[in-house]
Amino acid sequence: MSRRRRGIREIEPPGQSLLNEEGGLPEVKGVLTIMVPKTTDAKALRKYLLGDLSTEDQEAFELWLMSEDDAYDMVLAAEDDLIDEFLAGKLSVTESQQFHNHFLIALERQRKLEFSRIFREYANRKPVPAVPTLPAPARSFWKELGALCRLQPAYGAVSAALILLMIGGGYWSGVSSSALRLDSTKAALQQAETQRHDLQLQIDEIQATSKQLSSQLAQLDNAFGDLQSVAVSGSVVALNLSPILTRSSNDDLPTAQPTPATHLIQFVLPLLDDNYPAYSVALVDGEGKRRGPRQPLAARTIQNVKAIVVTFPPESLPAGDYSFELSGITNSDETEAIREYYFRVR
Amino acid sequence: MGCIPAPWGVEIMSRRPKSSSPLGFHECGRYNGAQRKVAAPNGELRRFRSLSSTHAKPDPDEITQEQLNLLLDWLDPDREKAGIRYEQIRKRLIKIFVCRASNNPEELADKTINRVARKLPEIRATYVGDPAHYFAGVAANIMREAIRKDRIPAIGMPDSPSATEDREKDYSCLEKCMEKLDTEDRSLVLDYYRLEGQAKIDHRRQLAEQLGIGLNALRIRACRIRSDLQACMQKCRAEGAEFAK
Repeated sequence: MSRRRRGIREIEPPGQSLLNEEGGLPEVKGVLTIMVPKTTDAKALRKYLLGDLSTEDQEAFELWLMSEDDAYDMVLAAEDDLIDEFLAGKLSVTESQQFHNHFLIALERQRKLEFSRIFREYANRKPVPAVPTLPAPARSFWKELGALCRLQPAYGAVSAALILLMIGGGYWSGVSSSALRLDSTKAALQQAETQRHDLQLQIDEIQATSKQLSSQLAQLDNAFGDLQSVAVSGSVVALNLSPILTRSSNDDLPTAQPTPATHLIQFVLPLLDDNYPAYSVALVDGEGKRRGPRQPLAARTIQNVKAIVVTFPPESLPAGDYSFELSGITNSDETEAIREYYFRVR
Repeated sequence: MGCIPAPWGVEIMSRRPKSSSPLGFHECGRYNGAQRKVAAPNGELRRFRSLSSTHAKPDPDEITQEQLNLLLDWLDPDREKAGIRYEQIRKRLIKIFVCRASNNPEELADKTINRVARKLPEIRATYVGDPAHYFAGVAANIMREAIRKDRIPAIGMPDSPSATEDREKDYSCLEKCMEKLDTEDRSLVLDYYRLEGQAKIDHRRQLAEQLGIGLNALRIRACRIRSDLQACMQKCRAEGAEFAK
């Protein structure tokens, strides 16, 4: 027996149904011609996901899903789109019912919805950094000129004349400047002593400015250190660490005081300079033992200050003294120790 | 007698008692519902489910080692490629059962594979075409059976978001997972899923042009990053404090 469905191409389904022996359903023999849906048919795919297709079309979709390389990814992407539309409140009443009564039955989809809800909120909060584009191939002046000359031979002749003029002009200029340079060297020698004196004055000035900058930086670090145990949202405690404090700065150590309601402690490690493409942070306890592996992290800008942000659940930080070892990761993946940030948990 | 040599190294990771040998085939026992990991020559582990030994009384939902070998040979004479094909077919079968609103898609996918494996000696000589199509046909029959047996009532997902404290953990996990992405993927996934309506469509078209890829390729790429993020977040939630270290 042969059945024909809306055919785009022929594929061979099972030669015979197993259910004849085991389940008693009608046997299907022979080669069937089955519709394979167009992958771009988003509406049909959406109906399939909502369980709104006829059995025949559903089975045709399943053959496509089993055989096409991209089909699986297309279905996953369509699921994402459908969930996003549901969350945006864009499904019709009927679609919403189908979404609840069919689409969401599988646990996998429920998890996907839950994740999408969180991801959507997160994406809306986050500013979008620019997507790196494909770099345009670099074209030199000489390549451009060559291309122009190939297209317009007349430009070639004009360009050649211009180049000759430039070379000639450059030679003349070189000869005359040599003579002038002899005179100017004499003058320069006479002025050298004066310049040396001026340079010394400039060096003194730079040193004074440097001291002033160091003092400002220390003030900034102190300001970070003063912002201790700031509650961000009731369940998150944020602690700004200072890069200039040492273990011996006993009373000045920034202190986190998590409450039973605290679920996360967030540490901000300000950077004095941002010279590395990535950083890693290791937590060290009061006895100098490293707790857990290093976490690779990127620098973030917080209120115009470059910083590394790390979070820990309070249960992983019992009361005591700790420090973070901050290291920079170079482009060649080498790790270079930068500094330590000390803090206390009560 | 009757001990079945495994095609590659074999590891049982199942509901069997712990006292059993990790190399299950030496024991010739019946591993109902066992999930095997099979180490391919390149060291990669593959899973095969529901195997039984040859001399034990066959369970309708189990297959023997010979049947599994036959199935793998049918999928591809190269055992490594057959293993990859097996995984692809299983993954797609699970998706089919998910799309058919089954709440036990993995079980039905394994049942489908086992049924194909048992039927293979009869059909192999005459069957023409992609083996995957045969699996799809059998899956449709299995689904009909399941519907007749026990139609599972629809269970709607509660719409209300999870508790605030869980939300904070979720955001923290998501933040960590985002940080694990490379800069390009992070930018792309945030950029792709913003805006609404026509503005979103126009923006995605612009983004595809900017990246020098087609719209469909962009859609699949964004979807894969999102899937990776979801997997990372689930792992983060499950591991809790350990993940943060």
